[in-house]
Amino acid sequence: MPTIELDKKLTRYLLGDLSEQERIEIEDRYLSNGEFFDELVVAEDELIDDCVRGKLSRKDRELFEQNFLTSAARRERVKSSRALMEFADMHAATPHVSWWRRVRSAFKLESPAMGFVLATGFMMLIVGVPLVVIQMSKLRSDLKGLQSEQLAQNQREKELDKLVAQQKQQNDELNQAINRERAERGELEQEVARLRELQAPPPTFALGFGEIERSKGGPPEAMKLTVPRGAEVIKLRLDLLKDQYENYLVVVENAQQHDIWRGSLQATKAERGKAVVVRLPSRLFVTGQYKLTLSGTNDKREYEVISDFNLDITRK
Amino acid sequence: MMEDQPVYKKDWVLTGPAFDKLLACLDSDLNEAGRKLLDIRRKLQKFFECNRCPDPDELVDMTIDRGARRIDEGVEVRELPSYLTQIARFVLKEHWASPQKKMDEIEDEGSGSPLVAPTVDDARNAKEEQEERLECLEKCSGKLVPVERQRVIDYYYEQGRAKIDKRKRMAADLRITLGNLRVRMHRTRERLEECILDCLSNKKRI
Repeated sequence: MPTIELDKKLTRYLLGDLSEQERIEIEDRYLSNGEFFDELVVAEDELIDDCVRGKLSRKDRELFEQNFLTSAARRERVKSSRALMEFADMHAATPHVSWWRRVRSAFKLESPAMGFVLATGFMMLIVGVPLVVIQMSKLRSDLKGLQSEQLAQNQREKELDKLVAQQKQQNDELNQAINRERAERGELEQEVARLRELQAPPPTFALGFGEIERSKGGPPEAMKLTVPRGAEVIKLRLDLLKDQYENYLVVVENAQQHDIWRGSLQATKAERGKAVVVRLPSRLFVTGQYKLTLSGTNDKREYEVISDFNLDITRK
Repeated sequence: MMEDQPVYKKDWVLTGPAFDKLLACLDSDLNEAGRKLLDIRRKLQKFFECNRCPDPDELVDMTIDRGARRIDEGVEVRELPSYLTQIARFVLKEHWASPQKKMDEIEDEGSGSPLVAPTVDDARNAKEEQEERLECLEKCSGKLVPVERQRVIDYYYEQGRAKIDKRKRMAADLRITLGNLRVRMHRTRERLEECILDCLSNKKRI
């Protein structure tokens, strides 16, 4: 018997819609034949499913309720079938298609070799892309870190430069202040010395024209000066060929090139032209070598060296 | 004195030795005999079920007990399945002829009256029960291997006329006949139904 006809007959049997003779034939068959019994249970599943899906005719529906739903077990099976249909419809609404099948269908590549190539490429893509992204992200982060570090370093350097410049300016200002102070002090000392000269004239030394001496070439010869015992001040006269500066600066350095005295002076009238007369406290000196530098201030208030004098001083 | 008294058929109970004799008629191997008996039992169950018996299990037990008694009494049985089928037909006739059956039919007719319409509570309970059943099915389907679970979805998903073609494709994919696929799906369905019943009874216990 063809399958469709057999299915129909089994359905009629399950619905109690066969003659006595037909029913006995079917029962004898399924009770003795395992495969036929399987046909029966499958037909029963499908009858229940058709009922749940509402596919039974009105007559079959009545037969189903009257002749089929006779046991609690069968009623239970109908409920389970309803749940099964709902479950299948629910999950089939979002059909599960494997990613591999999607890739294959997307590229329409069915040959195993191409599939392998594609799979390898795809895997490399899956593995590689995140790695590259991670690496790039790390590099970008490192670069940002370095940039910000460099920026901070530049900022620090700028601040340090600024600080150094400020410090240097402060030092310059301080030096200028000190020099000014010392020059003023020198002036005061000159004034005091002049007043004392009225009581006791100090030993005076004429150093000559330093500029002329200098123009002779060669190392200038040290002038020997002796400071007499009891002299508080010594007077040095620096003759000028030409009085072309408004102010003059005299700086005295010891053998260690330490600036031991400086004073801002003006030229005075001397026996032969103009001269810068310097009055120095004798306490500044011990026996030894000294250097005196005479400078003049120009229009820009900058000092220009006029002459150097090497002094060989002896104290008595 | 007691041993000489006759044992009436309705008072006979299945003993261990009688059951062993029954199994021996099926197969010399005890395990195989047990498997064959279970197979007979399933078929008899369906037989009584298909003959509109409300409690097939009871009638199956009655049939097997009666066959075991006859074998225990010395009846020589060559083909036990056929012999039990004959007994089952007698049991069915007795069942239909019994006064209790007639009483049950009268009660069934009363309870099945179309005049008694289902109430709102009945509908609500039925809906809740169905939701619980679906939850159990979700859980039970999770016990299947993923391929099998997907096969259940594909097989039972309603697709109208395309259903037959789809099932044929499924069978072809598995390299089995459509008939074998249907049987395979029935077995899976049986497992799921058993699991659902267990799950529901556990829920009721909680």
